[in-house]
Amino acid sequence: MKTFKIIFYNIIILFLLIIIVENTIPYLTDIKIGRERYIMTDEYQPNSNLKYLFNGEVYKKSIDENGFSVNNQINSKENKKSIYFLGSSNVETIYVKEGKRLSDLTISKLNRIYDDKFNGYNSSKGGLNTSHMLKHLIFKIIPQKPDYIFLMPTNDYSYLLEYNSYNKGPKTHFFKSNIFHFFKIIKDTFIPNIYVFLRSSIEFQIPSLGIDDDLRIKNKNKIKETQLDEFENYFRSTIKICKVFNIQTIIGTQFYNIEAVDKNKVELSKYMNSKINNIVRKVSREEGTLLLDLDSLVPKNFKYMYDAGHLNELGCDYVSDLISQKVIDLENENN
Amino acid sequence: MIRIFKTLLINLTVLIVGLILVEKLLPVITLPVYSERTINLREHSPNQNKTFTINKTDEKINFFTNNDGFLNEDKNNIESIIIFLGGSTVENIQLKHKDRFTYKLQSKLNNLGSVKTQVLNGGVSGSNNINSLFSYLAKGLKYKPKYVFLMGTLNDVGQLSSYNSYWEVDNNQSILNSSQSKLFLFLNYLKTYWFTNIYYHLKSINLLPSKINKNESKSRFNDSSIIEYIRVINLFEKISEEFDIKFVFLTEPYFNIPHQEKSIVESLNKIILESEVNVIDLESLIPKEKKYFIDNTHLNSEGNKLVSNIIFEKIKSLEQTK
Repeated sequence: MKTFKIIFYNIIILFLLIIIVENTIPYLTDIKIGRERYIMTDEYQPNSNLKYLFNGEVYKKSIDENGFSVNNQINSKENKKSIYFLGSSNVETIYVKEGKRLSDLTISKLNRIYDDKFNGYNSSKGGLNTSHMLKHLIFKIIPQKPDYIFLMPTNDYSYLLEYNSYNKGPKTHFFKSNIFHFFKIIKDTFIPNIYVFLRSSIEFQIPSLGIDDDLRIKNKNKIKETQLDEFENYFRSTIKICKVFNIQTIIGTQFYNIEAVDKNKVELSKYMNSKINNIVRKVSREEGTLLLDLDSLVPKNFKYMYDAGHLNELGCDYVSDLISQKVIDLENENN
Repeated sequence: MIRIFKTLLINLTVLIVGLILVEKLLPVITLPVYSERTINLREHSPNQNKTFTINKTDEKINFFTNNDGFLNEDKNNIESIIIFLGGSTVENIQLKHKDRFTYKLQSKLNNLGSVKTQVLNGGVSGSNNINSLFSYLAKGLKYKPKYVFLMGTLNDVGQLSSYNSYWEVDNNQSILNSSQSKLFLFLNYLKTYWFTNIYYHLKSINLLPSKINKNESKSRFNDSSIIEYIRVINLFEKISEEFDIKFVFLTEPYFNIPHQEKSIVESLNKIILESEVNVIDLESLIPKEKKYFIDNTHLNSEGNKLVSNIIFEKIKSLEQTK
């Protein structure tokens, strides 16, 4: 007991001394060169397998070493052509069984025609907006040397409506170090599972949290004043970067389920959707990129979506037909 | 007293053991959702105001940063912003802030009198162009600058020679912060955020061993490195174009560099000068004379003055062509 006490006191004294020296040094010698901020990746934890409950069903999701959602039964390690999917929850299609998701079905359909020629990787994550997509493209998609990218911007209108800029509000790219960060590091290092369990047991069990931000209209008064220039800047930059790296890009417009939208909000939903989609159409036309006008192609009802904006199995099947057909057209063109 | 301490200790131990057990058992049900990876933001700590002494000359340098880590004071009523990004050759940390070309340029522009301009110095020693790109995206664009200047060749050539690709760089210039174990990251966190001064002090007096790249002599710089280098500069240009910001690339002046590096730099400069990118060829405009340099690659006060004159004239000509 005495030995333990001595060790304990020594550790405390040592720690206090280190802190005193640390804080005294700047007055004696050097400038402070610490890095207090970093940029968040806004991705799922690489090398993880997710399982969670939603409406009584268990859904699985596998994340590879680069942070992409993959289906290992469809993808193989061989040197193949790759398609990357980029967007938010409506490209992620998380509440659809593994193998039946948008990216899984697109790749399966192409592989039936092209004899296992394609691998698919999904970078989408609920809540991401176009500024996050640009970041994903640069830090993790470009180094994989993709052949195709399917991308669909979402969550932009509501964010710009609320915060006027992607550089403001809760989804900016920074994380600044502070005392909470210290506890976060301890949590991430020593008890990540407990934290995630506690968080996911709340977040994933409440269906309304699964609805994309653009479909949650809070501030009706400001809707028509919202400036979408920043969206266009980020979106067009994304397209141009794909061109610089010779990536074939297929752009989808955002769709929604009119039957699930509150009657008082139907007109507003139409307005917001058309504003964003018109920019997507315009940029696509001006940049000469392939457009998949899902807004006009996907029927706006519960047959294809389980809520106001997320595809169900049938919806994934329908949209994957459209994407795979575009890829087939591009493959034929290239040959 | 001992009894209370004993009870507390036992309770704490039981709690920790319990937490560890639950933590290890939970992956059976679910696993982490939120990524531990972060993108490296190479910047000076924001809001610093320190004085340090240059070892060689005993000269005192006032070192300060604004709330975004640029080497500037926070200023109000600014009508126009110009951002410079790059490594130590933009940073010019060994010179008094009034001797840096960014400050001199700002004075010249403000002496014209029409618009109040601030020239932000985003140089960070060791940064490569993709580090600068992420700084630009994360904290540069929000200033809605009129011009962004990038000077980045020497660090890039050095790093691409070792790693071949920006995405393969595995040191403090890497794109992502984490490919290490959790314990390493935790200790690294303590070092970076809690005991920064001790670490840098020990490092500056050479008490900590520095990593030496064993393959230094075998350059991995090849055609794919060239393509990547050019494409990253193109990213700057495309993004700037989209945000209505004029992008200008600056070739990097030097006094003397090793022959192998020199031939790579020359070939890269040639490609950039032949491309559609807006370039100021400082490498050829700054005479390779000792009077302009502190060492082989860093400009002195005289060199900075010359650079500020060249860039000032370029900005004037760009303004006139509008």
